Amino acid sequence: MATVQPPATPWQLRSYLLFSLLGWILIAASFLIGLLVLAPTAAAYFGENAKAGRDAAEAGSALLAQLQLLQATPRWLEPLTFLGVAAFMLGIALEFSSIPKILENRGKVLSICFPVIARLQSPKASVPQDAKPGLPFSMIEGMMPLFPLIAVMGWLIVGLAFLIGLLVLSPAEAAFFADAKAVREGAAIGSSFVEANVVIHSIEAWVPQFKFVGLGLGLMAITMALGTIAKQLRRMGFVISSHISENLRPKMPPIPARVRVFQLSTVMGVMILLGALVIGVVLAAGVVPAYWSHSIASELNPAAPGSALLSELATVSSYALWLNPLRMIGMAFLFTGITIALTVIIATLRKQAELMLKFYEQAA
Amino acid sequence: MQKLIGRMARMYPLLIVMGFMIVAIAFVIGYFNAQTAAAYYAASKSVRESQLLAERASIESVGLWLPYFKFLGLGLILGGIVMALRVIIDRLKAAGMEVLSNLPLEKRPAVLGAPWYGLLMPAVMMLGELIFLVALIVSIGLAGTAQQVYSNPLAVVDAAGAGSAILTQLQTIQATSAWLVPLKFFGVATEFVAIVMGLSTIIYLLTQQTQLIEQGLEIGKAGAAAAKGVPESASREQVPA
Repeated sequence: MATVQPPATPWQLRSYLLFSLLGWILIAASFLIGLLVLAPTAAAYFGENAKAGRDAAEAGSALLAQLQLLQATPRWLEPLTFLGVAAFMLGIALEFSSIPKILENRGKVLSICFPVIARLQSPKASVPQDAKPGLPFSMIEGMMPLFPLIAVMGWLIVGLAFLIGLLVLSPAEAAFFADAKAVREGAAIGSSFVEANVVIHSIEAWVPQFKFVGLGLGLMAITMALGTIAKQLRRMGFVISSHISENLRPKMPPIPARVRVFQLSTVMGVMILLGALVIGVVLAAGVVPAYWSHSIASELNPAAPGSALLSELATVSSYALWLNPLRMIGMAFLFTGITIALTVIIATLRKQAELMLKFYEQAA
Repeated sequence: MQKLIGRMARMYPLLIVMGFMIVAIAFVIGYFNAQTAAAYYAASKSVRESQLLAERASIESVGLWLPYFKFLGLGLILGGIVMALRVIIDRLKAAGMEVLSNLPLEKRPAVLGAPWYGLLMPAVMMLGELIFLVALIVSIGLAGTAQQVYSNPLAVVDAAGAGSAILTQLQTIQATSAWLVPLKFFGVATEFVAIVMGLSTIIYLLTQQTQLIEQGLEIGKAGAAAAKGVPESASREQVPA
């Protein structure tokens, strides 16, 4: 035996957690800033002040400070959120990068154990099956083999969002920006300008949420594929150990509790994205078209504080500031699911190599 | 070709580091753009719309190209993960061959080739990267247009009528952004599909290797039994799972 050692702990496994935590901190911070700072400020700025008052705000006024906050903060907060996404991806990449070395060690371990198992000539025992988990995990595991279909579905949804942008939103933008500002804003209800404006704002309320459901399905498919790999590795372990006599057979460890955590994290992520889609559809069918189907110059701009139109404007101008970061929270749960699923695979690979080496030592 | 892809895939850490650096740089640029926006919106409407033209042009143009630059970074990280999967696939194949090399060549079970989705994975990954690049190039063009539009006082931009150059430019920016924004997400979704293809290939290989190792063990046991003079059937007590 001699030269083959149990797999060493790769350096990547000591650092991936740091990036996953960083991802959570950045994404959660952006959600909290959006929910507790930006959205209330937008609601107050647009909902409590008429346009004339907002436009007349002088330098140093409280009103201009609100506008400054609303215009400046998202310009650094959005890249910060994506830095969080990149941190998650980097953590996942680090985990993936630790696998080739572990596989190399596993190949060597199995290679030295193979002739020993053959030489011992133990009769093959039955291959055990893991007990079926209870609900909802049995349902989740039952869906796992469908991951290619779910990945394609996610891809098609994002593709559809692109087509809506190209074939509906883009022509509507071109129609709205076909004339001078005074003409487009002075256009009356029923005109092509007002109709185009309604289409633009309605699509912007639900299509981004729809697109993120597609991305969420893509991430869910990745987690499901990782879960399938973990199951297949476990089965491989059972098959190999079934060829080893009972007195030397390595005892397979139980399914780690982390499996349930990554499954729940994935479900949670998809539920949040679906919830965001429902909110987007409700907005796109209700307050958004109700507000924008007016003449901008003669109805929307003169709206006075306390009017129904200005309170609708408060909703229309503030929802994206908390809904967009909420979607990212959903994505963070999905990335967490992938991160944990990878730890299960890595732990399984390393444990199996350890067990096989122990068997080799005993058999030798 | 596959060997070349396999060799190139080993450079995946470079892609991942580059991608993360790009996203971090995007955050820094975003921070400075936010400072410009804070200074711009600290002035009254009449001042900013007539005097702070360069600031407005800078804010608008950075806002147009920066998201695509950031997504190129995310795309490189995802591409790096796909390439890492390729390295894992190659290592998994090598490990399987190493185990089966214990059997004499003529008795070794036949190993099947990679499935079609495994072969297609690098192409799908490259398609995703191409989408990010195209989106970035188009967005840089739009940013240049925005720079031209907003170097005029806002009163001039607002007064631009049908058929004027400024309104056509404004129309182009708005109409193009409408499909360009979802395009970059389509790039991300394409990278996810490439990752799923890689993971499916791993599942395929693991399933195949489980069968091959089982067959190999039976062959090995039979060989050992023959060497000892024990009847072959004595070493088999098949109880299917």
